[in-house]
Amino acid sequence: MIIAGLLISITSCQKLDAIRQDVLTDDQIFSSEAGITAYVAQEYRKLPIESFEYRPDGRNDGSGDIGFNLHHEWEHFYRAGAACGEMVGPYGGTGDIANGFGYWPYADIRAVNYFIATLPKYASNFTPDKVNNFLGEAYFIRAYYYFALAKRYGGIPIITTVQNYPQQTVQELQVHRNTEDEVWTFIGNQLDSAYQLLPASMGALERANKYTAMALKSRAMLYAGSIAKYGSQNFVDGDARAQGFAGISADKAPAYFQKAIDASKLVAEGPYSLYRKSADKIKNYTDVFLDATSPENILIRSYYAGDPERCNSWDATFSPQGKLNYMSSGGGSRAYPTLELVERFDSLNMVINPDGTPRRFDHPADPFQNLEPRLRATVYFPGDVLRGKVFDQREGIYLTIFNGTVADEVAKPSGARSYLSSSDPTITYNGALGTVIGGAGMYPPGSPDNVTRTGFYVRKYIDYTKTVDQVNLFTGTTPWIEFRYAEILLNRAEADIETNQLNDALTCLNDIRDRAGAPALTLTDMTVDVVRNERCKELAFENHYWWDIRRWRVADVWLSNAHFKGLYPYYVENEGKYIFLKETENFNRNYNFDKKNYYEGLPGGELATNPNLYPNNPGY
Amino acid sequence: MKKMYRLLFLVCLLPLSIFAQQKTIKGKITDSKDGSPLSGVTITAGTGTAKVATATGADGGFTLTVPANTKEIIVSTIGFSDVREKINNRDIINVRMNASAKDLGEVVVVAYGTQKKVNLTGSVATLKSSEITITKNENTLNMLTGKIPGLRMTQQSAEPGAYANTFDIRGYGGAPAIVIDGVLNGGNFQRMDPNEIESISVLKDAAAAPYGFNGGNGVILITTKKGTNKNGKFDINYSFNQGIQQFLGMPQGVNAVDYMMLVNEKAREDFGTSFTGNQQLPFSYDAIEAFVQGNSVSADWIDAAFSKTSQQVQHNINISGGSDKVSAFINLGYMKQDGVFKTNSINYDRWNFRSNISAKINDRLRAQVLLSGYGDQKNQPYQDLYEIFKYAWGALPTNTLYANNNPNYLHLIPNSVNPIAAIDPSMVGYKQLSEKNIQAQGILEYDIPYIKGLKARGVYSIGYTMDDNKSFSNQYNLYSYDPTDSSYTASHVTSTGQPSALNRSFASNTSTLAQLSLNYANTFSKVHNVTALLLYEQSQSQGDNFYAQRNITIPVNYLYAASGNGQQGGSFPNGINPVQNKGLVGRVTYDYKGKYLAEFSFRNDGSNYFPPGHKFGLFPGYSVGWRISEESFFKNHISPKLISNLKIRASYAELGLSDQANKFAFVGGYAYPPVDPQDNKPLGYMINGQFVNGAAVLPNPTSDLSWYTSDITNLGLDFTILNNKIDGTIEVYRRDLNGLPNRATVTIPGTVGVSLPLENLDSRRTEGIELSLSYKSRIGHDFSLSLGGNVSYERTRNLHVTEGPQGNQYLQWKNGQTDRNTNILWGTDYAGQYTSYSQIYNSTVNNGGGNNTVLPGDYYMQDWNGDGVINNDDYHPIAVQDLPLVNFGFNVGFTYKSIDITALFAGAAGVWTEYGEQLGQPLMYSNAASAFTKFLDSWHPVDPYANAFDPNTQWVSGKYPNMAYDYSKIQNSTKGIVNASYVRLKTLEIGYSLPNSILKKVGIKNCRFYLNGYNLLTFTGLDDGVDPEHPASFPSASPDPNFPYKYPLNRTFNFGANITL
Repeated sequence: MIIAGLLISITSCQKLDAIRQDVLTDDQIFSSEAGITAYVAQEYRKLPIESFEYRPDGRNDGSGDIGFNLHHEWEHFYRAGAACGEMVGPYGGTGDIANGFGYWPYADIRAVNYFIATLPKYASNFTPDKVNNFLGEAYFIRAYYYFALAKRYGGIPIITTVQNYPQQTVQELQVHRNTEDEVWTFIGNQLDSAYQLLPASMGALERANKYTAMALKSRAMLYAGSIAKYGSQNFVDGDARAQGFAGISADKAPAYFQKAIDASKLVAEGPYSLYRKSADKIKNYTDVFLDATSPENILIRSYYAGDPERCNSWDATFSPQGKLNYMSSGGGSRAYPTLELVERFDSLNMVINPDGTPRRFDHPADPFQNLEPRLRATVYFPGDVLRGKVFDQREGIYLTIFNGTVADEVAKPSGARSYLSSSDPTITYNGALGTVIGGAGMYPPGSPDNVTRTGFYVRKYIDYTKTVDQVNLFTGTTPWIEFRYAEILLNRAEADIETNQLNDALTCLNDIRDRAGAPALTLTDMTVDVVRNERCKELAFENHYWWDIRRWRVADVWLSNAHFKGLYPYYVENEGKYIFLKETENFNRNYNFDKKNYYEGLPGGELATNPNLYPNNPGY
Repeated sequence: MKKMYRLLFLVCLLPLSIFAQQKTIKGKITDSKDGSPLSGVTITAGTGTAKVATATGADGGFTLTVPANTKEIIVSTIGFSDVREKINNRDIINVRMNASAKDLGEVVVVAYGTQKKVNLTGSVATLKSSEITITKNENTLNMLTGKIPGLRMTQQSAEPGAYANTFDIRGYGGAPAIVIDGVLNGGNFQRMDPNEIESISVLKDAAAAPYGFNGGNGVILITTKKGTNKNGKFDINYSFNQGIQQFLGMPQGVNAVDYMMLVNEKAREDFGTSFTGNQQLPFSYDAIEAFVQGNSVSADWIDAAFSKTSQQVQHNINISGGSDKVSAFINLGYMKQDGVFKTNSINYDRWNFRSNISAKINDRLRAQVLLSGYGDQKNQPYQDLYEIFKYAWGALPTNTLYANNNPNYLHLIPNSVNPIAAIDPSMVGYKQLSEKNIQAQGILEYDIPYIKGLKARGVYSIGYTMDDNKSFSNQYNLYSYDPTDSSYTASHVTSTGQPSALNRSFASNTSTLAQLSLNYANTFSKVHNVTALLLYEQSQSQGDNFYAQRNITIPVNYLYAASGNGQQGGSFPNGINPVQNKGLVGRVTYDYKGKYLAEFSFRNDGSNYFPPGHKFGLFPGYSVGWRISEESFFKNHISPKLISNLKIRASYAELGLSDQANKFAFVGGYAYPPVDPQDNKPLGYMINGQFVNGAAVLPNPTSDLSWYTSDITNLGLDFTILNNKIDGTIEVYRRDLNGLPNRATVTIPGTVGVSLPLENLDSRRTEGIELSLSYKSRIGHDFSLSLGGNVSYERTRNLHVTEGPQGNQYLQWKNGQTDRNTNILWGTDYAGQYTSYSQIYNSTVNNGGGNNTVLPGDYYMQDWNGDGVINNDDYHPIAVQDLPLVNFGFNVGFTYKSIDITALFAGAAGVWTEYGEQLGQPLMYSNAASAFTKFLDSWHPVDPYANAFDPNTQWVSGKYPNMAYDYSKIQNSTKGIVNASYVRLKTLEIGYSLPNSILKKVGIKNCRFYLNGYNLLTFTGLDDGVDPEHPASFPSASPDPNFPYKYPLNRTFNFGANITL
């Protein structure tokens, strides 16, 4: 009986139909705004925003998010600007990043295409406005992926539908490249659609609205305009160029520039203005990057110290860590502003006497007191204070000053110079001065590169309100500002100058210079070089420089056997004074730019699976 | 059954003459272990028609009438070694019998049943309780090392409660299925109290076929002790074991003076720095002198953080016995293990219970209720353990432990990880990990009337496991001292970088199993022995979990008292997926006179891991055996004294393996949230101050990815020779895995945005050989000797890997995987150390950089392809990255009167390792880490201030290159990747049993004391003092850079006793 009972209970046979419980279906995702938000959260996470953690060398750390590892990348000093002279840092040269890392985000584009194709089936779950808003956001996101592709490769295949294998044959799937002109035009059109569909706000600064679409268009059309104009003057010839895959004919340039201006003007209709909360110009410009309520922010990427922790490490990896816990509890810096960047603001000629000998200063901060406020807020100079500690950096100590001019001294081979140095910021000399090279001092090559080698440190985005305890790897929550209004003004001014609309350019520039604490310019100052220089200054360290010198097609000229300089402080012991020598940074790295790198080569694996992608870009 | 015994007697009996005169012998047969009487023991004498036999009664007594000239009697019963006792004119003969593992009547546990060992046709290795417990370890799995041929085992650490092992059977690659008392995953083998275990069977071939999807990597069957009929009496057993652990391979750091000298040397020997500027050496003469004179004190961080020894204890009490109606085995066990940290902040304790009760309800119906469970708790500091080792090993001896050497102020040192704080839960916080499990099983067995030999059996089992963890990350202060104003500055530190926080997490899993079976056993015409089994079972399990966290502002260790800040909660998606299985199992065995043996089994297995239409698979197993020794032609020609048993057997099975990694590959949709592969946390995006989980489209679902098949062929030879003294088994096997998932090489362009779905495409073959031998002998009454050994070798080869062609022949050779042994490591051959500048200058081989930066003492490699430069083109196979290819064990046991000694050696060969990080190089992280003393034996200039690049500089030679040597150069070479073969004395036990004469007076049945050692001696070619099993980068498919910092292995010295009342 018992057995029989057991038999009966068992034979109520289980079905083997339980499936994994950690997946959702379309029905679940597209049924609610929360589901849509989850979908777009994934897309924004994958958006190629070159924020703090962007690695232009595409380091693959196993995360699967090559180049854009939002969550585990902490070596923020691997910046594009540090490979091309905006900064000097861990990169050995331009070649470390110039060939790209095979960025090919078609899986992400597929996800957007799927979203655009699927949302209408579930439209009844939302109001028509909402549906439009979601679609508009998807167009913005898709345009962003294509923008990131176009600025690297020129013409690439435009895919706007969900492709499937084996429903489609391999031959069908082996698509051809679109021309570069077609791609940039497509980007512009996508953003126009997004502008039409999106509202003035999606309720979050991390999500795009109609003005964000125009901000991206302003940037993208400016890129397209300069590529058409300057790419027609300075190029490597080849089949891809001849067929329009790499290069746009020069006559298209004015139209692109005008589109950039028009888009910028539409952004200006939005609720944006330059940040002017503080009367102290240095503090004001510093806070542009720290004040979450800045009216200048158009699109940001935020970080989170909770769980799951998603923080950046900017504060830790741009603060000196030479002496123990000097200005951060972990990490340490490895990329430093060049003298060339600083000299865009000011020649710094005050450090040399008219006779060419070094000028003596009582205090290491003396030379920098009257520099442009925006520069002081962008770069930390010797003698500045952060987290209660002084930027104390030297190359070494002259027991007595050298004879002759600065130029003669720095021209000597390093072994022939008579100053004392050290490879350790804790080594003291006679105890009088602290240490030989200072706590934020300057290491020779081969030593841990976690103190400056130009004499300068980055100040932009550094959160001065934190204490040393609070600064460590993965503790930064300062948002990255992907689009801020100042860039839109600079885009507009540059497109203006390229289309000879000087008054509008001057207005935009003087708005920026006024906020920066720089004297106003006049119409006669309005040249391409002035506008570009203003852009380099205003947008320093924001990952624009690398793309700007490429699209201006000046990289091969500016980076021809280039060596970058620093401003090296020394203590003169018998005089008790400080001197500052302009010297080649002590790693003495040599920078060059190969003209073919104005385009990256198409990823080899993609060419192997799709012969229709040929011709590859010239030189590859 | 009687017939079978007769069969055995044929094997065992010696020819005897027959005489007519009779005499009567009386006696008592007892168990040598505890002196208890043995009932049902067969006593025989004589042979052929003159053969006489009797059996002992319940009191173990017997009476046997034999021909007067009979020389000896033979005493035999299942589970004990046969005893041949010379009569020598005695009338009363008392015999003590020893339990035996090699008895021909021995019954072994196989899938869903038992079989007589002598009739086995599959590959089944077995261990008895006493063979397991002779090794004393906190982890039951480690008690198997060296004892089972084909079991590949590496112990990764002795971390309390970590149970860190890697193991497999025969190189099959995946974890074998573990079945406890008939229930797959019915408990946790590693956490079992070894005193509960009656026997272990390891099924390695077709014998595993009844386990279907779960059988492809072999099966380990564990059977727990059940009470036996002791005429209503119970034995009470108490045992304890007190152990002292020593830690293996703990390195020693250099002192401050040596550290500073090494750093100065490095600066002089570094090509980059020694050619620029007027460099001050990093450490001045004065700074070094201060330590020499004792004005400054060198810190020994390793000594400050780690103990040399720590304790370990086990207690066990159990009751065993019963009547013919009810019998029981009830066990309670406890163990506690302390750890290596000075604060004893890592420790572990565990209790186990088991209650196995069997009842005979009537003549036909029997019932069993098996209950068991365990609960454990592991305590450890909050700091990740690898960080504690990393920073304690690396902390500079020039830094003081305390700021200004004031013990009230722990010193702030680089990385903010002061090892003294990191091992102290009152500073850094703690983690408490506890697990509780309960298993309950009810069994009914019914002899079906009218059909002889037919039984029905029903089983229902339920298991519940819960993990309850608590971790507390505490903020504490480290101090720096400023001598100018005698002030201490506090830095607030947490190992998370976040405020103090308390985290609780909870996970549970419930699993059930129901089984119904019919068993049949009968003999026809006295020669045809048939058994049959038909079984249906279904099982399922389901897990769940959640966690909560809040910041702690007032020091109360409960969530209720925490602040609302940092409040978090959630759940992990892995671990909640359901598992469902059902299977129909059948088996038929047949033998003819015990001579020709055949077995067929199958399982029709179903799993919810696979897509509709692919949920079920049929897995058959076939085996045959031939006991040649039973053939008359054999017996006629070969004396049973020489060969008493000779059997050849062969098996073949098609098993399945459900691919855990790709389970549910047919389910499409969205991962919500997708999980970060690096930290296992949700991926998403910050929107408006909220973290929003993302929803990621899963890769292309596949409609037909299914299990892969595991075809196992096994050939075996079993023999018993030389007067039954030597038993042996030789086996060769081949296992083919077919249908391993891969993606077809028809690649579609990346612009499609998805890759092709996985299909069952690849195949792999494992082949190997196993040999085991045992020898047993008794010399006189007092002395017995046993020897045993086993060795196995295996190798796995990819038969087919779906891959595209390589660019050229060399690349094809190097990167192609098809028809290639697995896990090959490529690199260069180490050739030697440069001993002079002239040797460097005259070198025709460029070792990198044109040899400009090479110094005497640097390693150089062989120019394998002869092109004058050492680079990747010189790479060729140099090692294997896997568990050891050869595994062996050897044991020796003596007993002399009341003393017994057992030694077990275990070892491995064909295994390589690479010691990275601080184990492999000094002054890592640009001198931010210190060095181990072994690096003092390195090349350095005679004059420490000499220019290392001046060819006139004189050098002192050493084992290691100069301090500036770039150790990354040897990473892929036979210098960096070294053979980690070893032999070690795994177990040595000396026991003494108090004589029965004493025990009887105090009413104790048995009392034995022992001294025991674990990992007492290790012989290895590794010369760096590192334990050969300590994980480095290998063996692991994905080397973990933190492996060098893993908790060490231990050596233990144990003292204990077993007492039976």
